[in-house]
Amino acid sequence: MNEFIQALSVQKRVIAALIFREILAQYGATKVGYLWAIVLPMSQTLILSLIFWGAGRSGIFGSDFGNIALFIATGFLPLNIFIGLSNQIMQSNGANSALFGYPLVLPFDAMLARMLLSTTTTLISFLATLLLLHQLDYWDPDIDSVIRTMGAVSIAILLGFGMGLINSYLVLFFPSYPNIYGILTRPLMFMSGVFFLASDQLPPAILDVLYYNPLLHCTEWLRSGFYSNWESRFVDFNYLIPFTVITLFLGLITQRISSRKSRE
Amino acid sequence: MILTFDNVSKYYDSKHGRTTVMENVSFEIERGVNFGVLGMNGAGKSTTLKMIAGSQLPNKGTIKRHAKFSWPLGFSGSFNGSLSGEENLRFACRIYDVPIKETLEYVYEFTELGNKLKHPLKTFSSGMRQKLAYGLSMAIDFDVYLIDETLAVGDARFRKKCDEVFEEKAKKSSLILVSHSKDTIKRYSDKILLIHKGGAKIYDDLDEAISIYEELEP
Repeated sequence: MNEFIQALSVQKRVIAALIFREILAQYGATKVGYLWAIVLPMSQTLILSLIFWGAGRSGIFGSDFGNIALFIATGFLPLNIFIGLSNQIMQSNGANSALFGYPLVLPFDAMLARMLLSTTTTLISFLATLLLLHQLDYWDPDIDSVIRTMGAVSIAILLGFGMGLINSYLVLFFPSYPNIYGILTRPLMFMSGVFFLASDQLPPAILDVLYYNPLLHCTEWLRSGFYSNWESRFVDFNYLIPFTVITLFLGLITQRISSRKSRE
Repeated sequence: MILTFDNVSKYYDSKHGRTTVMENVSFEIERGVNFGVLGMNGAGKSTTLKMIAGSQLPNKGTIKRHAKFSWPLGFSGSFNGSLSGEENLRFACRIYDVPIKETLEYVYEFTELGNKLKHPLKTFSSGMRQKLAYGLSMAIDFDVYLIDETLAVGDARFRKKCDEVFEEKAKKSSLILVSHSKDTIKRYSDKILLIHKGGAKIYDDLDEAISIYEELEP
């Protein structure tokens, strides 16, 4: 038992050190470094909102700029979490290989560090967007509605983490896999409900196909939480939860195999 | 006992078949005893050191450590090229839970690299990297130092400094030392671990081990 607690405290220390290192390595090159990581997704949301607002788009949540921006921000959140995590973890082994010379540093720790950092960054960026919209008088701060998104956020994290683990395994066999993954996931932005509501705006034939995209369920669930007066009819937990569990499970198994292999 | 190898087997599989490094090897290392590791080229000395450190796992069997082991010294690959020398030091301090400020001071003084430590590691020459790696490992108090071939780096003056620090360390910590030099082995070791053809054996008598080593055939 003592050994177990000791091992946990070492792991905590190692992960903390890895997070410091990741911040420096990923964002330390310029003075604005980390700020940039927060501002970039914010500006993505705001610019697209401006375009939709300028085009005179209206939705069930209203048609002024603030309403559109909140809609887009809540749409990007699960997508950005998923894309960020699955890419970051895919590249973890390659970027950190030099550190594995320290016997205390395990590949999985590096992935956990990346998960924590990437998720936190995306969440801070989301909250910063909300705060900005509040400053501009577009959003009444409503903590409950933010808290109600956490279920969907958690699923997006687990999904992205699991996918990242599977990706990092595939990279071992196909060095060009990251390029393929990048191409394959690009359409997700248009398929995951960032710009639309599945149940209200799409024809059934398209919905039948998009049903298989777990991120769309995530987005719809997240918005059901965020908007207290709206409930998605699309979300199917009997699909989303098993899909997430299986992805994570496969990811952990492949990780276990590959991490052992790399040290054998 | 600070280290136990219990029925350890280690092999590498490749297209050209299996290379066996160790087969069912068991031995124990007691506290306070310095070990020299001898073996022919390719016998698996470095692999053994990595397994002792924990950066490589055995394919079969168990390895138990009951002390704070260093990483194998003499290789300088654990640094991140885009981070500065100082940032790399901070990372090592955090994972080994040693005070950052004192460690940095020690390394600045020991390596004499000065402001260069604020530059990215990729701008370091290999000699500077070695100095940094050496300084760092001397700054952290390990119970057991694992040394792969190099005991001292740099020019003659720096080597002398290394030797002095090392003599000091050897009083408190134990060493497990891989070297081809009989003199180095004799100078630092109390016992010898001889690795040959997948087996490993401990000799209490240094001269006996060395004479066996010299008559080994591939």
